[in-house]
Amino acid sequence: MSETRAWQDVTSLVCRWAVAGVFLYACIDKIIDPAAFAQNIDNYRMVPLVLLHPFAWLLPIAELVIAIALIVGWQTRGAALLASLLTVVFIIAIATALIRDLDISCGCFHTDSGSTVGRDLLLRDLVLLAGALVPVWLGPGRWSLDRWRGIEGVRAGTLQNP
Amino acid sequence: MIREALILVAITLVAGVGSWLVRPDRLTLTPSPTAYEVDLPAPLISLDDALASYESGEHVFIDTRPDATLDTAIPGAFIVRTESFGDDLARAMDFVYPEDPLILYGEDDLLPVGDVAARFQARGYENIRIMEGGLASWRHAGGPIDGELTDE
Repeated sequence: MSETRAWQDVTSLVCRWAVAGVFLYACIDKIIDPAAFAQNIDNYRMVPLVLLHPFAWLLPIAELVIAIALIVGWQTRGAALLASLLTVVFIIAIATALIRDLDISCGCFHTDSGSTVGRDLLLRDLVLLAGALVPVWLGPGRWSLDRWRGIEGVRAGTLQNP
Repeated sequence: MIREALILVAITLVAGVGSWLVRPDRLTLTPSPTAYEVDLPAPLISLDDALASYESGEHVFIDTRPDATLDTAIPGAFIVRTESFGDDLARAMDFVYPEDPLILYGEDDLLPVGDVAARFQARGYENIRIMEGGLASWRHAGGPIDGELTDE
């Protein structure tokens, strides 16, 4: 295994787990109290009322599914792509709230209180976006279910050796 | 990669529907139109109407922000805050009469403004409106602020 490849594997693993940790931590409060999270979303005044509850219900579950997929390295590139897209949505929400001078709680990790929307949150989400894009670019890496499934698939003849 | 993402989206939808069916505290599919409205003691006035009212001089503006100062308020506004309501009102009483139409404003959160409105009502002030959006929206809409006028 070349040294470059080893570094890519380590980098992918670290970014996968870091992003997964953030998503996992972020989804807990939202899953426990979806009504409070719906209120958080409503404060942004971006989501139409008719979509508010489905959005508040599904978003934390999406975060949970993405986090689990990134931790075990299953459908890794797809999970990282979804994590990146969600983070872009968060960045747009925060940026528009800043432009409109909304003084609201971000609803990022805690539904009852938490960070007020500000430039520091924008910066934090940009870092998160960079971290989520790394597995999209580098792939799942050595320590992932995807790689194990690939090897097993080739051995069993259900997958073609690339 | 797109296929992988679609698989995860499908899992999310299945898990979402499944958890929605089994959880006793599930949200209604569509919230009632008033579910996320704040229950305020006085009616709201839109930002546009408040700006028009300011231009015509019909209303007295009351700044309820906890950190309000005269040089960061709407020009001509009186400062009456929850924390020091009695003292603030005593200072403004010579100028603000119970029959005057008032427009109360604060930050984006309308609940503290509603609290001050309720206190005004308890003192006999009946013609009260609460400005939508708060001072930040007022500023964003081009409404004048004392300090900014001084700066220019």
